[in-house]
Amino acid sequence: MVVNSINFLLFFIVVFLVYYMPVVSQRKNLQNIWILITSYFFYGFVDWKMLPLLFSVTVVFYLLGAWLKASMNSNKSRLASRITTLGVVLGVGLLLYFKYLNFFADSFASLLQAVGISASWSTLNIVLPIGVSFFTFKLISYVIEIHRERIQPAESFIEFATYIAFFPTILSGPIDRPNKFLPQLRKNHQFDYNLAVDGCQQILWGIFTKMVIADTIALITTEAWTNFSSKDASYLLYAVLLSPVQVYADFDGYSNMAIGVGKILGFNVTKNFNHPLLARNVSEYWRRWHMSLTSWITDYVFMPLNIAFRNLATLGLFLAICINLVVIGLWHGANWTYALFGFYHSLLFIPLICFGKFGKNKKLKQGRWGLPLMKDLAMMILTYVLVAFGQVIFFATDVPSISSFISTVASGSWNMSFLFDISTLLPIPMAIFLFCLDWTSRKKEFAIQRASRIYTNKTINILILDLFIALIVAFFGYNGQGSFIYFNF
Amino acid sequence: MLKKFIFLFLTFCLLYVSMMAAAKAFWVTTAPGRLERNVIDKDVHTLVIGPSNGEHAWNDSIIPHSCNLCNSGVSLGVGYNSLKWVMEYNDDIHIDTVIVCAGFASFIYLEDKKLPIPGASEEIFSILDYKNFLKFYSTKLSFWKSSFTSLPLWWFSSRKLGGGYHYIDREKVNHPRSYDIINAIIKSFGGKYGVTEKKLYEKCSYQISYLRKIKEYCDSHHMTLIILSTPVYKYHELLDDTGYRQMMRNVLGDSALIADYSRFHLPDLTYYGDLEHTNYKGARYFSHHIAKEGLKLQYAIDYIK
Repeated sequence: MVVNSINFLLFFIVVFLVYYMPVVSQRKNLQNIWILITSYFFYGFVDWKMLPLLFSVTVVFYLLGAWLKASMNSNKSRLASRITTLGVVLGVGLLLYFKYLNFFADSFASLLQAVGISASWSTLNIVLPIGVSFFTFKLISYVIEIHRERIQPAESFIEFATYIAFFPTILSGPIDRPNKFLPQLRKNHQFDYNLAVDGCQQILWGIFTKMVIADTIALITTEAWTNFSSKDASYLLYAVLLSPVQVYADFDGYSNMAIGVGKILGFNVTKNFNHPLLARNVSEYWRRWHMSLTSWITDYVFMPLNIAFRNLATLGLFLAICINLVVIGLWHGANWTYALFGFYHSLLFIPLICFGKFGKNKKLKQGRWGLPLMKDLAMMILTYVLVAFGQVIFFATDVPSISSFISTVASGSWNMSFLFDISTLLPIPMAIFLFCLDWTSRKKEFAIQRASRIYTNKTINILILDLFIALIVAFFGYNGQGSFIYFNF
Repeated sequence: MLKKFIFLFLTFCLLYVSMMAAAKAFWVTTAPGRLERNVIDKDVHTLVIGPSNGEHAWNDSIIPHSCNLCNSGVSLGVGYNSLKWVMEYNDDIHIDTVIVCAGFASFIYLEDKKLPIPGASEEIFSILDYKNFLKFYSTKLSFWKSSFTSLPLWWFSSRKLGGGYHYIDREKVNHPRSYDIINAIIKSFGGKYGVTEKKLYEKCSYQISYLRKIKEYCDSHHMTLIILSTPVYKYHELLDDTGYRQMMRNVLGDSALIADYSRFHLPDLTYYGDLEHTNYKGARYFSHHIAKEGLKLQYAIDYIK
């Protein structure tokens, strides 16, 4: 049940109506119970076999949280540290088992074979639970945050289970942090008209970017990634340059839908993107891209590593960044290509570290006629191109296919005739349109948010704009053809 | 506030559904929508494809065992894909003859301009999915050059809204605009009275390429291809079509079958919609004639004489 489907709409209408029924809305517990039931229904609808796993890990981490707090209250700091370590090991172990076991075992067997030791490994048939990368990170951060005394443990199991299984974010994030989300579950949510309308528009905008922009570009990029050996070099390069826009529109589209659904229910879900197309260097790019993941990894991986390596000065900083980005890469899946993807991005940090520009980003300034400054624009384009080449590694099925792709581009023919086909040409204005919107709406959460100067907040204007977008989606969107890229992670 | 939100949401849904319903109704009632519903009868053995000339002349309720798939304003690329679509969709029919209504007017420069952009490939036409009205519109809108001209034409040739070829009763033969069009054609081909074969090849390469594809398709499916020129009023007194005849022979070969009714005499001006098209009355007259006499065919080698 994807968010942009009729099934979800019907499901959500029921959720919404019951959630704001006077009997339910006046009691926070009832609202939380209702969200929990519907979240489990939603997750079960997608993959019912994984419901016991979700439930059991929730119980385990809830008990761990309670035990941790009790040990902290009785000043047993060593025990508290051990419980936290246990929580982290369990969380990481969960990921390792479901996501990486076969990968590491295969890699290890290959390594042994490379040094002449015969090793065989029969691959286990492990089914990857949907959203495991997202809810595991929530579980881990819960115990760490309790140990760091930034949060109090959940007041009830219902509260904690609702936080972990919250249906708008369980499949593909954003990864909500407990210190921001748990307090929201401790109050009852009265209907907020402005927040709900804002949420609806955010959903609509998400549907637009996903179905009109991402899925249109996907027709070209998917063809390039899957059949690159039969394509011209020019076509492949074109697909590479379009791919960052596709992934952005796809994932930002989903995030907007999730955040919008949360808003209608009165929740402020963590923002996931901050106009990454406007990034002027790779450091800024990672601060604007998949923010809920990068901030999580920064807090729990990068910061400890940076402190640990501080004696190594610049090299230590690079090592911390490198490990940080490789972890981000591997978070996407069990494949060396993802590790290489992270390593490639870490290499892009070297000039920033060497010239002392790491972490020092000036605010974006507006030049003449409201346009970006030429220098900023040039840096944005350069960053975009560098990120685009990283997509070759990201989308490659294995490491050898990266070099095959590059050699096909390097030695292939240059036939630009495909650009004469309007359906192939269409992504270019779409990408420019998205970039322009990112620029003009850089101070807003999403492009059509109501603070815009283009139209006032009158209901009729909102209705007209929303209808216009809905019709564009109906006529130009690829209905039901494209699944979300980040569902795979 | 909750009530206001629900009201706003319902209004949005209502307006959205209404607009979708209107779009669907428009599509169903217009010529392209007809194709979607057109499950061809099993007794049909002749398919007629092409632009408005055919749509306005061939009355398939009069001419037995035939089905008119012509659409006003479409190029031969669309005709080619309509033919393929109908053949694929109706796998139990037995078509032995395909008639392409491709008179001289089909190869004027305007027809080639209807194609989206130079270099347009067959893929563009193949995504013209007549089964899905939403996709049809979006694809049609991407044909931005032709949308301005052909979409209104489709509207007016609609069976229910504009009448379609069964109901067109206009008489605009002496309308000055008809002659303006002729002058524009003459101008576009170099301002001369006659249009050379070379000029046609230069100006209409895409139309010609799809004519070739239609021939190849018919050959591969063992169907007889006939090129039909429908009745026109004084057209050949205004233009010399020798170049067109030579081109048809060169494209389709000496043994291609031509049914030239461009000089077919209708009783009077009230049978013509305009210089190039018959009206409802003309279509009935012409169709009764064909139904009674059959098509008079000649080989392309004889056609140029």
